[in-house]
Amino acid sequence: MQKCWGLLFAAVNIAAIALFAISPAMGWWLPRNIASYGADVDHLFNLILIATGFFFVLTQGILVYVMIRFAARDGLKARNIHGNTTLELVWTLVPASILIYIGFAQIPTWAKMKYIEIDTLFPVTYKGSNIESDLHVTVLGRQWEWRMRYPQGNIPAEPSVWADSGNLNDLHLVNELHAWKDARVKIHLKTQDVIHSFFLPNLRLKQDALPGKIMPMWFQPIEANVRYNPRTKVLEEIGSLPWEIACAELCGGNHYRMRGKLFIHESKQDYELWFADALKNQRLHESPRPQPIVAAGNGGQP
Amino acid sequence: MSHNDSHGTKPGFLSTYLFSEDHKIIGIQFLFSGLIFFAIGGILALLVRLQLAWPDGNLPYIGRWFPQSWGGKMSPEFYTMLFTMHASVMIFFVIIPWLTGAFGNFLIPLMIGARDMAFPKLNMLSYWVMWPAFIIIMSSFFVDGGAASSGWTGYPTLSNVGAEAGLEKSLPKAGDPSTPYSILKDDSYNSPAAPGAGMGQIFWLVSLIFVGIGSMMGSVNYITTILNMRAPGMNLMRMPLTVWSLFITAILQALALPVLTVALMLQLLDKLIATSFFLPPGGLSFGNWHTTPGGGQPLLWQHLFWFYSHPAVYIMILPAMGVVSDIIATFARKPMFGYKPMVFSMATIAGLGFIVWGHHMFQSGMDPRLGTGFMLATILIAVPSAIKTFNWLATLWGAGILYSTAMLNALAFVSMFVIGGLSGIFMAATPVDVYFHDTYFIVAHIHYVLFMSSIFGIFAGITFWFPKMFGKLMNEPLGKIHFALTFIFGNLTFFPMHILGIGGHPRRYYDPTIYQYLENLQPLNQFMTISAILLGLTQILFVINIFYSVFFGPKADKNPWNSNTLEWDAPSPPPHGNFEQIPIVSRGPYEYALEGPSDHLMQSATTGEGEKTHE
Ligand code: HEM
Ligand SMILES: [Cu+2]
Ligand SMILES: [Cu+2]
Repeated sequence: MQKCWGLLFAAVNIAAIALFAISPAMGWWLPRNIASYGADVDHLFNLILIATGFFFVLTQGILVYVMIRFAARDGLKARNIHGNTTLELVWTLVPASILIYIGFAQIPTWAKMKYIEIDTLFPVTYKGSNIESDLHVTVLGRQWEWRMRYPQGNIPAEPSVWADSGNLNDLHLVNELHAWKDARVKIHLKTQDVIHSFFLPNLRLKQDALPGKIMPMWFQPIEANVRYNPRTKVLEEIGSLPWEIACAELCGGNHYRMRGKLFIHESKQDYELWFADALKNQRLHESPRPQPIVAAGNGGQP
Repeated sequence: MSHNDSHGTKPGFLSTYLFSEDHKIIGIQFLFSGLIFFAIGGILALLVRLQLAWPDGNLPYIGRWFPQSWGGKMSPEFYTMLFTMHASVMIFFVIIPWLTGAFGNFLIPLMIGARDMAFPKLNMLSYWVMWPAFIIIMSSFFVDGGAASSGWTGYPTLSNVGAEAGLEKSLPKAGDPSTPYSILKDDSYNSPAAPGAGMGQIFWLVSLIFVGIGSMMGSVNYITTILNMRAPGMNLMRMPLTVWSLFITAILQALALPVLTVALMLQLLDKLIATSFFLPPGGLSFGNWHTTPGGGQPLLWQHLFWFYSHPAVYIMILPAMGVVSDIIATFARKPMFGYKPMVFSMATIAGLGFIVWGHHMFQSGMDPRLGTGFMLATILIAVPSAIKTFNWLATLWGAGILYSTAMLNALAFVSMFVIGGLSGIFMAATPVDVYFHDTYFIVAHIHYVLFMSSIFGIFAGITFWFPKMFGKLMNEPLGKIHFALTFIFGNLTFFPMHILGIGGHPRRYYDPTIYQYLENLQPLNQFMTISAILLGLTQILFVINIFYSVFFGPKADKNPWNSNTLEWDAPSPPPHGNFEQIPIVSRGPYEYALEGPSDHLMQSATTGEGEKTHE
């Protein structure tokens, strides 16, 4: 009977491991990565998974073992031990060094994702909006949709001024983010009401939109999922699943409804063909939805 | 509840049980009000889970309670109120009051050999200011617009904008649900951001301010009592780990709480008199409504809030760590392994706890360079957590473990805390957290540390000290059944949340099924809801056990577990004034596994037979 408790703990832990083991096969895992730095992120995730998995098995294993081995019974005497300095040092320094290694391993990828230039580790230089990019888009969060604005010619003359002001000659779309494969895309993220968070699971990217600020984001997709057919004027999907955009910061009742779609065109030409038609279409049929000015010119600096 | 008064004139019923200044009664009051809120918070959680499992279905039976205009369904706004109130209730009305209020009050004087707290009147007040908080938070469901709905984190500008905040007055937005039975109808407090961000948010803020005042009074009392009222011979390094944990917690609380109180007051001012601490210079537009320009910073709230709330998460677990340590030593019949490292690691956790708040804000728009510093500090906090885990395991190594209900719950704490601590590392790593932030991975983490760890620690503590509180033993078989089912259903409910997080499932979603990439996670959501319902039902066993045992449990003697600390020297239950004679302490609390007729020596025992003292 006493031993059963150790077995109960063992069973629960084995079930936990089993769930992790079958999840990738069940499709319950990280969605497909399409970002240039995504492989690094996934690699770091796997690194932590291995390290934590090791300590999980080690500690739970010891616990289950002692629960069974040292269950009270006739003839078993508890030992009078109050501590052991060597052991304390071992289990302080070993986890500490592994953890510090894990910590430092994150720094280059974080820098890459957040425009931090690191030549030497310190001092670090923050590049902000000056990083070179092939396409600029402003994304404005509001209750409850994302409004995207694309400049003619992909790169505006003065990106931070452009991002902060409205321009009726731009292409305005709702909940649709377009870019092309291998483009270095710069997003100027804004909000007009509450905090939203622009979440692109396939790009391993997420950023809160902060009222009163323009937040920079960047990514480079390494895969395409659409092709524009200029004759039929439809976007043909070439991927299997659509890539989606979600909101990750509670922004009111319909927070869950801020669903957008990510379209990565095969090539720059393909994007530009689509862009020209979309802009023409907008002039003919719709009045563009202007974006209000939300930041008094903070130039893309957080 | 039998409570004999051995001291002076017999006080009346009211001053004995209601407005009592006796630390034990106050502790028990915290215990029972916590139990009520545990039930309320649990029901709110089950409603959240029902919605997640069957987002498009009309809810059977309970659909009827919802206003006609919602069509038998939960509205998205109501859903946001549910999870906001669930977390707020569980954190501020269950876990903190149970750990610091119930355990802190009941145990500190008994375990250090004092007759009562340093300031008994203040102590009584610290409980009674909870009542305005209780009443305000519960009535907030019935105010115009409904309860607070900005999450337990209450981030502006979702939370702080009110009609007063410079908004042009206007009619309420069409389609806003309003509770049919509202009290306090005043349009001028409606918020354009969310129905619950009006009067409901104001109630939430006021209620938490009261909670904060109560906790502050408690902390001052604990610190003073522990520093000044220890029995002769009880030097600091002879204090049981429970007392150490409560001491460190009290210091944490005293240092961090003022920041939360200030933040709550600033937000309250934003709402009531249209200040703009958290309203940005450019103002905001909600549809066609515009606020006046502000001059503040939404991010300021997050810094203030997490400067309190990160230490607060340790407030919510350190006492459980102390309790679990004492229980493990008692039932392992073995001295605590590494007493000093245990104390130092708790102090380190508390110290580091003040410089890691930014790990909640990696994606918030804070300067990313700060993220790296916060990441390294956060990752270091896992080191003292690991030290504690290994010391618990080493205490069990070579022990003779007695599987009482209290011990099982304590062992579950150790096992589950490992999971919660390890999942923290994923989110501490900045590039990985970009993906995991605000997904179900965090929800998994929270519930492994708070439900599966803290609550197991609380169950362990209640079962362990129940004989001291009520002079009766709890029913062991029932306790074990409750434990086993909670352990199984708890894991079935919370473990799959990690997988949901890895799949990218955002938290606080009313209906995840509209996303294609989340579609095949839905079976997991349903599975977790069923497990959660069973987990909730299991808790009824605990309540039955408590009430049955209070009245019909077998009588407990002074020291039913053969433990060492001073409270087991007092009668069960201890009279007013606790001890017939203040004990004199001559050794540390963990003298187990001794040779001789008895395998342990109490801290106050006078015999030096076969004694090995370790200081
Ligand atoms: C090994 C130690 C731990 C580490 C490294 C750690 C790390 C983290 C990190 C990085 C986050 C933020 C995740 C995000 O928002 O993206 C977080 C959230 C959280 N942690 Fe921990 N944690 C640890 C232990 C604990 C403990 C012991 C508790 C409570 C008893 C706790 C309670 C919470 C809560 C409540 C949140 C979520 C707050 C919210 O957004 O609602 N954590 N943790
Ligand atoms: Cu949102
Ligand atoms: Cu934290």
